[in-house]
Amino acid sequence: MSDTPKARQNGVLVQPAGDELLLYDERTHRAHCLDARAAQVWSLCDGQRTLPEIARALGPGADGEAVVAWTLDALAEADLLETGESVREMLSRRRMLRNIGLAAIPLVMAITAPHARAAVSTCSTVGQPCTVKPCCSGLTCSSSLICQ
Amino acid sequence: MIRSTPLLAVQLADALRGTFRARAPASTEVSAELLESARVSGVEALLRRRMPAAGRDAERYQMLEEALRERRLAALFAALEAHRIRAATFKGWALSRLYPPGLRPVGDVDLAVHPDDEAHAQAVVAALPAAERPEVDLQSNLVRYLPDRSPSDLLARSAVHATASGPIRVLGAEDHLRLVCLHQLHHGGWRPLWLCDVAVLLESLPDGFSWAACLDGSRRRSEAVLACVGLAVEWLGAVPRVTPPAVNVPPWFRSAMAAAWERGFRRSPEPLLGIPLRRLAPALRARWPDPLSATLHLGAPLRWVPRFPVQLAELVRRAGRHALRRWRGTGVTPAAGAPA
Repeated sequence: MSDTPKARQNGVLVQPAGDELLLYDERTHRAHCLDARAAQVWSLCDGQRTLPEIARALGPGADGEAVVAWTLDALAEADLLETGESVREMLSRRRMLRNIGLAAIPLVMAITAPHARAAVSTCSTVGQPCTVKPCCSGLTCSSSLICQ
Repeated sequence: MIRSTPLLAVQLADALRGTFRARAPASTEVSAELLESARVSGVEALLRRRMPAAGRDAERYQMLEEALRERRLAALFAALEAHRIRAATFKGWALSRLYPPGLRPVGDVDLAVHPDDEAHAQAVVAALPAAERPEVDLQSNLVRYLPDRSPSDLLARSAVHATASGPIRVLGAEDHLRLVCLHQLHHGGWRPLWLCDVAVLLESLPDGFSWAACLDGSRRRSEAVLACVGLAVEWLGAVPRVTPPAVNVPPWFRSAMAAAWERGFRRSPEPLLGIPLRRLAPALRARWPDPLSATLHLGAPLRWVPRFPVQLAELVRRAGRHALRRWRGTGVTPAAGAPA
């Protein structure tokens, strides 16, 4: 973990949704939801501030460095920081939990894609067979007859 | 309300009523069966608005999808514009933008282009960087849904919508509403989302919307459009921004839509050639056309004629078409991009 964590911006689509921040990782196609506090920590990760500085910027009553460390760990685990190493080296989660309690933990949640039936379409999209309908523009039919 | 219709459809229509508006609907009990039905038919995020304690993952995910799609669409339109290709998108993002964010899945990109531009547009799409390329369903011929409108007219009436990522062209409101109604009938109306789309379109009609222009063309298709409009008002509580002509939804239409919601997605029927005897009856039953698509495909009147002969005639038409294809040795229309 770098001393001055930096939020990953490259290939990450950011969409505010009320208090939450929704992030879509275009590299891994994973989606994440940060609650208000986790969003705050993420937005303070500018590559300039250190962990204690981020904790101070969050203000009094934000449960301090342990909360920030927890959040950074979760963000790193979700691959949302430019520096991939885990903050676990600095503070184990178990110790953090002892220090801050469950209620105070900012949430970094993975979002599961809804499983609606594919909209009726005249062409097949990525991963669909190209035997019944042609592949959509820009896709090719592989030798295993799947659109890629 | 819905009479003599399957219970699930009644419950779903009641639960979806008004869920497509910005103001959160009143909470209500939602059964697991109803939620599962909503999940597979793309209205999960809408239905979950009735369940305050429920997870909002579908809504969140769709919100991201919508933002991503908007960015990619704007890039696609910029590329098409640079090649002087006029195109307009419809359904998908063009509808999800009318809902509060995240409530509708965006699906793929339906793009209408002039037949003369189709090959060129395909090349432009293919040249986009893979990471920025949306899944495009390029359609130069919307004859399936709008046989009474030329591609040139559709494109001429399309309108540009400014977005944070750039301008995106969408079919004109009159053509879009007509298409959305006829598209759902073409596919047997099994997806409740499609009727929600009609409701949302009705509530977002632009100033100057012309019902005469929307209903211009084939009279029977226009009657079908009005029946969809009537059902969206009756079942989902849609309040059209511009009052439509008076409509009386035929009872069979109502029951057919409810049955389609109840039945849900219909898989392509099993090929009959070489099928074991025990599976023959269900395979034949699966081929029985639904009354909505049969009426649309045959151009049958919505009133005065019972549906059974219409469905029978549609079955004969489909069988004839299939036989003709086999006789010509083409089988299924060759898929563009499929290996030789």
